[in-house]
Amino acid sequence: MFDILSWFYRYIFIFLLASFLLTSISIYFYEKKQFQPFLSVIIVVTAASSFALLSLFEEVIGYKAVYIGSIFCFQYIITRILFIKVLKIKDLLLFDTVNMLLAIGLVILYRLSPDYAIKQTMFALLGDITYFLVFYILRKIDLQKDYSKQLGIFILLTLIITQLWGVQISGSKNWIEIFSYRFQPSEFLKIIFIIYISTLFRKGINNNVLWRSSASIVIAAAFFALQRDLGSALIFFIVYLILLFVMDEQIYPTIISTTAAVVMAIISFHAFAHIKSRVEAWLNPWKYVSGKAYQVTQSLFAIASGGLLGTGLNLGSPKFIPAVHTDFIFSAICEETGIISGIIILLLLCMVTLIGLNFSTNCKDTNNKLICLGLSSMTGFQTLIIISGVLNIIPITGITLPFISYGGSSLLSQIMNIGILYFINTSEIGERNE
Amino acid sequence: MNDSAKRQKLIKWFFIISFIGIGIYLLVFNFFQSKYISSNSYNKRLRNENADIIRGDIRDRNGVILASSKVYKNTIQRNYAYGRHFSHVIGYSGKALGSTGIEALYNQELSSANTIETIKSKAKGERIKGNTVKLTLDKILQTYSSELLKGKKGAIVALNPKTGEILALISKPDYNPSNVTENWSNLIEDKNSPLLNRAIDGIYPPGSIFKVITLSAALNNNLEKYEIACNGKINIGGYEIKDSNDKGHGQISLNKAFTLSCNSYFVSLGLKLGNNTMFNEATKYKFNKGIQGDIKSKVSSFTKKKDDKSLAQQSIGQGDVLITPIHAAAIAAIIANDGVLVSPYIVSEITNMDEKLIKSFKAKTGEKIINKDKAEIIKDMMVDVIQSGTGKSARIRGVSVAGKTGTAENPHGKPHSWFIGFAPSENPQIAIAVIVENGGSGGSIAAPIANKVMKKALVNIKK
Repeated sequence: MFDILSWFYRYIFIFLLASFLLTSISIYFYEKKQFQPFLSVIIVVTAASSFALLSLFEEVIGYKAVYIGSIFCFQYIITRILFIKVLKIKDLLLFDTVNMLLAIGLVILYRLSPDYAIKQTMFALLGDITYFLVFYILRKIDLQKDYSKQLGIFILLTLIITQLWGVQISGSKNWIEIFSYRFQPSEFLKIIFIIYISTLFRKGINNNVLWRSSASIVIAAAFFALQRDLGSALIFFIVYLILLFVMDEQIYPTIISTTAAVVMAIISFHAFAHIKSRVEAWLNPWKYVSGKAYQVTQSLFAIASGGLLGTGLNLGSPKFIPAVHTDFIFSAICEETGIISGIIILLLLCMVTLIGLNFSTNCKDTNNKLICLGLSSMTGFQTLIIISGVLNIIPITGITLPFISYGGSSLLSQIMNIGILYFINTSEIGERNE
Repeated sequence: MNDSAKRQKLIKWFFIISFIGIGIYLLVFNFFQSKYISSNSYNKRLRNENADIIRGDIRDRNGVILASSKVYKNTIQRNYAYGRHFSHVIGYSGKALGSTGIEALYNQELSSANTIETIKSKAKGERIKGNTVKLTLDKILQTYSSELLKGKKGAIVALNPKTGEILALISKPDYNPSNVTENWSNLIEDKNSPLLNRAIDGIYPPGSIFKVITLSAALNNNLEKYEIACNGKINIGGYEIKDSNDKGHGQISLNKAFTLSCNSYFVSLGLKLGNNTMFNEATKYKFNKGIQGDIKSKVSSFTKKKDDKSLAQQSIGQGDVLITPIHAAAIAAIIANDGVLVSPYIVSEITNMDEKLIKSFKAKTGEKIINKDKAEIIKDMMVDVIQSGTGKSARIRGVSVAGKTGTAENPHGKPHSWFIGFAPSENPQIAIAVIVENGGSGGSIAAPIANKVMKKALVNIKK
């Protein structure tokens, strides 16, 4: 019986996703602000219906699914009201899109293992608090002051601490354990690094600034290389290059830095065996199908088996892919809810990036402009890199899919990212009105 | 607008284009690649049997059942009516081993049925039958050809050159698809690799059948008047290539050289054409590219070399040139079909259990490889090969056959025996490639087999 329901539900799920996408496009491009409430309705209906379906999977009704679904909807509605009333935010498209992605993520995580979904729900609740914390802290700090020294030292110390006392999990030594809570400092460092580089760049680029910033990026990349955190190193580099590209009046520093980055990538290819094996797996996935390309070929099997509409929730076999709940969650989505859903999710993440970039163009202050640009490019690139990775367009790098992948550090840092974007946007609007 | 704002806009467009690009890639992936990827035997999903659906039938072009499933004491059994004759084409399907061949490629279709019917049967708790896959193969021709190759190692591929329909596809040694699981360890340890589908995945030196391509290059580069004096061997920088029996042919023209398969002539012709021209001609004939069909085959290769010795070998189909039997059949089909390649295909229709059509696959529009007049010249020369040259043993009374023999030297013992050809030459109904591994000369081993298959096909195949 569940099979039939799940089978039919595929259409409903895609319909909900598609109507969300269309509504958000009409709001973003055609300024149809009156459609905003529809988004909330779609989010709640999607979460409620998906978890209702999942609760029917076993003979006994799965109460965990019911709880998670209700808690998600509840936290979403409450936070949304507080956003309007307390933080005085009017433009909620970004917040709604993020919550839609979060809902999809929770559904897939619950399907993979209810425990992941329970933990992720708790991270989401922490995330709600994070929004307000970000606003509270940033109001106390005068962002116009030059904090670059303090930020630089903080980043360096964190990298050293991770290097010395880090815990190695699934090949990367980029975790820190405090009171048996583990987290990944690199996720938060990404944000701090963007603020740091923005503060350096805000007065324009001269040789001194260029030296300091490029020294920082090289040091950070070196640490990540030691910690085998290829993904973070890549993201740091790309975001740095983007900020440089926008600020750079002559173009040659950007070109030189890009060349340097490419050279470093080639060197690391030859220096690190794990990078080399990933590149080989990328070039010849079918040759190494049972060895080093196992993960990516399993991912391709999953996407290929789902087709446009997917197999239906709980009717596919996404668990054949190792690490499916983090880096490879996109393949699980494609297998069970279809490639169409995958494409819609891709476009929603594109929307999140574009809204952030719009915030950036609306900024008068250069520092704010750069921070918004860096933060939203980071979301965009993270999505592009991991999705191209699971599709074997580029070699696989350990990066999470924003708002969807399992993981406390990554989710909280992404929510922090959105929080900062909103804070800067509201303060810029406030200044203009004064 | 200042520079920085312009660049921000650029970044925005970069994101829009990249995201949409990946979206399009996903669609392309779904429509053009996913079928081949999901049929890979490493995909563990192929081993999950759908409990509610009895796997559908596989039938030949006339509707003869080749593979079917039935419920026997509550377990579903897969029955292969003609066993070994179809082992590689149809493949096997099993819980422990996954599946191969058509069973793997059309697993999705075979193990699914009409949505509404499935739901009805699920509600009732009954099992229904999956879709039927209809092949272009002809059961009679397939079993007949299979018998001809019995006990040998090699492959036969027969096509309709005008439509690309594959009429027979044989690879030997074969295996019994019904008890693959029981014999698994023997099958994978067998030195003769019975599981390998030689017809599509076997790559061999083509030997003299490659002279068709050297000939085509000569025609395209106005060398049809080229002549040499053949004394039975030719020396290229210290490396000697001999003609069969070391006999010289004397002063020899293109037509005569092709008919008698003169190595000295073709080596010297190849050297005159040069590395680039030969490489380009081979590429035109889909070397290094592969022939696109519904079943994927290995890609035949022609490596670009700079030295004369390699080129000399390649001109007569030795050295750095390798071909699959299905590609060899496609080359015969190109000449038969006035220089136009129609991609070979093997599945013609998918129907549901009530024999209602779900999907039908028609021949693709062909791709022009060479001009009609050039194809006509090659065709005439191939007829001469059968009339008065190396391929006399492929002659059929009352039918004009065209062909080319090949005797490919290889490091594994006696040369491989090759034949490619088609008949009737004026209105080709069948194009064929036969290879017998280590069989000896092409004219004495492969050509008689091809002769029998063509004869059978001309009597038997209905359009």
